[in-house]
Amino acid sequence: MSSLEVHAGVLGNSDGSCLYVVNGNKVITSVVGPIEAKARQELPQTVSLEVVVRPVTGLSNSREKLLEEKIRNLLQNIIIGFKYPRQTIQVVVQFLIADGRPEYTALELNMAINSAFYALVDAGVAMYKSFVSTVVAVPPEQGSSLIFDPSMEQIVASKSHHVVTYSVEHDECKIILLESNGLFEMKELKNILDAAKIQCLTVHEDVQRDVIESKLQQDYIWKS
Amino acid sequence: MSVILPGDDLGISTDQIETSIGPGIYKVPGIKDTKLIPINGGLLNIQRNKQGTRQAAHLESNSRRYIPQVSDMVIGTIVGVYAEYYKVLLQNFLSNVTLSVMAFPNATKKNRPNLRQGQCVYARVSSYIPDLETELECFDLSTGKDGGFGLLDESGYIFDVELNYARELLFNPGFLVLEKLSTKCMFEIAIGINGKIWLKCGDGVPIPGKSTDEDSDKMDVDYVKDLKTTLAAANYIKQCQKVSPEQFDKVLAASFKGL
Repeated sequence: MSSLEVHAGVLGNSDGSCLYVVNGNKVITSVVGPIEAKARQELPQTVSLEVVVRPVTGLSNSREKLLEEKIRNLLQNIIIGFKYPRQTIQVVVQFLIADGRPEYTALELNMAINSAFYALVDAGVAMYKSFVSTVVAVPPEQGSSLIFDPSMEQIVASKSHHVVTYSVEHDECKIILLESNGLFEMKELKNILDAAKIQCLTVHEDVQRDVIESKLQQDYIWKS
Repeated sequence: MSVILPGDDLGISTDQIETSIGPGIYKVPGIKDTKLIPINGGLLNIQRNKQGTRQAAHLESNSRRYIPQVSDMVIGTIVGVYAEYYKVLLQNFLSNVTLSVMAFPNATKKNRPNLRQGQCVYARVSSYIPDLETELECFDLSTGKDGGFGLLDESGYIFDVELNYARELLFNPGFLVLEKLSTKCMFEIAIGINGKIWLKCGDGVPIPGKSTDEDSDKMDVDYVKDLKTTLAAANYIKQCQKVSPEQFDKVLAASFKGL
């Protein structure tokens, strides 16, 4: 079983933020916006998204740039950009503790996507639907059950591992991101997606709803 | 009120009933059937009229970023002075909005307001179209008089609060924070729902450079007292957004301790 801790609104000076801790890995995500866009990134009809991923140590390189691109493509279809023409929304993902192995990005991508959701809701950015991400690892032994939110060791040992992101809209789930790595068959993948869907719906109902509810309670504490 | 996440089913039926939607609810344009979706995480609030022919729905939530709406009353800082208009900043890093020199009471080509950079105004949002620049005005539309809008005195103190708290202070007359404050001191207040509050107790904060020779009977001690009271009152208003209503009295006593 994995341990999960989510704190929304931890940064005082950004419009939305989230501290996300899972299995000892830690990420802090901030959202600023909608704000005035720089002239070169201004889009006349929609919002321009600026995603920055920062590694635990050192400078970001092509590995982080790839993550940024994946997150940006995902958020672009979720955020209602037409509500904020000529504006910018900045999303900064800063990893604090991560099992950083250059060849595996699954855990980091998963954490970044999940924490971005809370930070965006905290910032009050308009979104078409909610989204939840999960990592599934297929253990090497035949017939053993799938591992959700695996540790880095489990990922390295696994036959294949997958980052699956579902969007949730009235209990209707759609895959919006799938990153697979390793050896697997079509049939196997179908099972994984079905299992991941159930997992994502559970997280949406139990974790996301609770976190937002407690955030709202905190925001309206002065209301009698 | 129930907690709603983006994409949830709102459970609002829109046939047979005229529906107005407010913040947090969105109708996807270009689609014929009126499907309303929530776009923020918040508390659903629906109000119906007695006949059941009209309803208004919105999501109540807090965000730190201010997005203008027509008839919002806001506090802005003048950041640019031009021949025909002023550039006004409503919140850090937001696009500037314009305030025409003609948008003042009794303004004519010859009789124009004289505002400088850095001064603050209390104004009303007169036009907000996302694709265009937002415009402000500094007079009451119904009377043509100033109606409390216009330049904010520099002896006041401006501070930031949460947007939802500013809305409650301005729109809920039953909210006790200001009523309780009035038991401690006299004050003048302007609440901008862009999360800014202008506050002045007594004669407020003395303006440096402007000597006290105008009313020389007023001692420096009095100014210090007004300054202290203003800061205490501002502190009290800021603290109240983090506590439950039962603790307002305690915060008030703590803020005004020694005054």
